[in-house]
Amino acid sequence: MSDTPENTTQQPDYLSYLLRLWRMTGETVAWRGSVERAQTGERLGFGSLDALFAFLREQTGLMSGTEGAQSPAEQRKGERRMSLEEMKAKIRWAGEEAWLKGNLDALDDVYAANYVWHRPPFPKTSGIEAVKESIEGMRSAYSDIQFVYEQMVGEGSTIAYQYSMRAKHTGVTPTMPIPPTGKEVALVGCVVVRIEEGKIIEEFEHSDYLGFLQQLGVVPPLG
Amino acid sequence: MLIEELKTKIRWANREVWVKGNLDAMDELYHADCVLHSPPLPDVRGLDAVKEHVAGIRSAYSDAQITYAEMLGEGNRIVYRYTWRARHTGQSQTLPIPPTGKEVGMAKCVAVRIVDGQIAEEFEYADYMGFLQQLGVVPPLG
Repeated sequence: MSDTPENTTQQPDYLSYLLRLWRMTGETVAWRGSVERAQTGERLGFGSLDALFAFLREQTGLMSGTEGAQSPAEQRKGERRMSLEEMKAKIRWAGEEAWLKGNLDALDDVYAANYVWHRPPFPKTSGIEAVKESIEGMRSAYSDIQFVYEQMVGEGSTIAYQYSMRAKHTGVTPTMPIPPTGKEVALVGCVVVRIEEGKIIEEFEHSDYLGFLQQLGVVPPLG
Repeated sequence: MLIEELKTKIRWANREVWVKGNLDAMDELYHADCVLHSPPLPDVRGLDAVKEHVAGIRSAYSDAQITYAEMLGEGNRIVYRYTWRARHTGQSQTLPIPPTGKEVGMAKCVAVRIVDGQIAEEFEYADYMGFLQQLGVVPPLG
């Protein structure tokens, strides 16, 4: 292999990395990762799997060597898919920042200022402040919050995901003035969001509020 | 392309089942051992049990109509939203109250998981809270 040219450029059709993944446990559980280029030994670290996947997408999808290999229509499709994947990662990141860490400003990156939130049976609200207030209210009334995003589905300018939230009811929210019950409760639902210019402009949240209120003892069981 | 075909089948089957009461329209679309999650109701397991569940709900309502919002699919999942409207003219096991004669509506979001071209698992998120408020069973909150 002594005759291998030193200035080998990356081959667009073949990439080789040593992938390392490790789990960090702290306030929240998170995966970290690194890749080591097989050709050069160069090592790159990533704070999250989303960041790592974004890097791999960039390496494989946006590499200059592939330009012209796809028809313009295929390229546009690829770009759209890419931005949907980026949007999914952004939604996940901002949701976890807001729900788990209380970093509500993270939502500014994802929601348009004038976005509209449909959340039956509650009245429709508008503006990013509405979602911030809601999460802040929930965070003041619940502790040990766990928020899990299920697999996301994206098509065109729409993304949908199922979620589940578990928490302990240890405080009072402005929207539901009942004393803390100390109960472990869960809220499950499916959310559909409409994206425009890289931000959520409309959200349809369908959650099991009846089951949630039954768990809290606010509404009696049926039947 | 398979996803587009499934979307068409789902639309067709929902109309057959909920509007016309033709429950056998589910046979081709659903796995025999499919699972329906419709919180806060208990899970329903197996196509026969799902049909029975649907028949029970249908017996309490007439003039059912469904109106779709969006339907999207990727990989082995399809998610769609729709509104169901009907008149409450009978009594069902899931909600044992006498018929109110009221026109009621319920917003729903459904997520299905596809295995071998059929629905293996269905998650239905319906606004039961708003629905019971319309029927006067649960008072408005706040």
